Amino acid sequence: MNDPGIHYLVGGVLIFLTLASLITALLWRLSPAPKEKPVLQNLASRIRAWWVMVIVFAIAILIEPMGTILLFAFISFLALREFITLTPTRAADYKALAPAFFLVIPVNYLLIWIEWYGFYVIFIPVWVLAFIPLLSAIGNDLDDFLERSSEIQWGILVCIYFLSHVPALLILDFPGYAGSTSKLLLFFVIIVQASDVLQYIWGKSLGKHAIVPKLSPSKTWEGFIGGVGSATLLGTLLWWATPFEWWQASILSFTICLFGFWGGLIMSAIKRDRGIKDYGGILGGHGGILDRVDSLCFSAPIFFHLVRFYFT
Amino acid sequence: MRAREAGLQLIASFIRLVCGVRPLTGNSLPPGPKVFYANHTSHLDFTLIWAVLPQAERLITRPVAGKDYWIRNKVTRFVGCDIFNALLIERKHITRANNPIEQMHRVLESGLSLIVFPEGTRGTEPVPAAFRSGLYHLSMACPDIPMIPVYLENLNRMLPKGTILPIPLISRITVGSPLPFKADHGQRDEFLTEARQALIDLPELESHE
Repeated sequence: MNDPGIHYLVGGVLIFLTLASLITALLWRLSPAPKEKPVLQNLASRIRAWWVMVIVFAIAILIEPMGTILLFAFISFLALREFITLTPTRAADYKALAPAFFLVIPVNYLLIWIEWYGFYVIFIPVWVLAFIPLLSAIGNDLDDFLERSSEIQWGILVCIYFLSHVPALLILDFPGYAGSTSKLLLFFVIIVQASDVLQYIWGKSLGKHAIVPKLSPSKTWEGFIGGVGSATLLGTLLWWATPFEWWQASILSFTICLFGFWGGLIMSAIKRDRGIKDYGGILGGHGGILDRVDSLCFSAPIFFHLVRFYFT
Repeated sequence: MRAREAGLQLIASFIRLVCGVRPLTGNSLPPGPKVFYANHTSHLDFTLIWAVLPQAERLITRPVAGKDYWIRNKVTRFVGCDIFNALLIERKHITRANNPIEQMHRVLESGLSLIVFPEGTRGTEPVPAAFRSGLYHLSMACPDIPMIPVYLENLNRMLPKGTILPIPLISRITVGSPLPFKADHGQRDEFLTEARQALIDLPELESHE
């Protein structure tokens, strides 16, 4: 981990976070009754959670590649747990759920660890998705069978397979960029998360026109355009950390912001359908793990395959 | 003794971690001995109620469990008696000498609390089955003891009958206030129906917060 690029990226995030903490503290100090302002409270707890997330993530990527792979395996576990908790599975689904947690997660991440790309790409989409409904079926309870088994499939696909494309970036092989894939992973995560944060900031300050009013009043055109635009700009400015030209970094940043936004929208639709606000309560101010990684889940496989197709 | 208490606290934290719940804060519970009654869906049920209690309460709370099941072998006996300090009762061949209600009465009189499952056996549905008469007789025997409904969700999905490895879902436990009414002669079925309804109403009351 001697690459100075990694240090610049992590240092930049820490500086940004420190600034955010200082600004929030200042706003808190200036507000006459900060405890009665839900936005300010939410902001303060969000930033606290960000500190924890950034520190955990920074430690994980320093232990390359083991730390990153283990961290994402654990995030998959927590995300799947949140997802399955909200789906109407029944006791008969035990036979499908036990292997989903105790077999699919370890095997999927082990395949990344041993860099067996060919089996990794088909393990979940082919083998697991074919077996899971079978295991549900032999549970001998056919009420809502299709709904139950497809929701377990969805959970596995989004929370394990899609999400695991983030650490899978580590096994990409670029000519002339060997040993620097942690930097690419960091670039990707920074852009997706920055896009979320910037959408939040733009939306809170200027947002007026909801994109899908039925789904979420806080996802506005102003937030979307401002957030995706500024995150794309950030991605362009960080091109030096990637194996791409500046204009390629720009196009890729725009694409991952777009898919990240769609991911957030899709996962919100599921929450709306279930009548809940958050997937869980593990991250103060953010809701559950799945509320934080929804945009990563959907942009990671797209980014991974675009990069793999054009650059390796 | 201190090592045992620390051990129990550790086990309780582990159970809460697996079930994804936070501990209760103590001040919501009435002081002194009480009876927690809950819907019964899995073996995790009593362990979770035990695990969310404040440590001081936990040390004086005994789950009531079927003797035939828990004395089967050394492992179940160790878990049931040594860890959870369960009060084992007969489920069949009940005589005057081993009357479960009297056993429970004695435990409550000695100042300890109990966890009971008035359905008698584990169900698989979210709504508990009709209550057996035990809770009524217990309330008749100890009219001053508060009866506290506890509603458990998701535990039968985590550990259905016949399995031993829990799936790590996020469960929910809702502890209500003591029943405002008491059992009295001849009103058995009404008491049981109302006690059951108080349990069923819990999660809905909670979600209106």
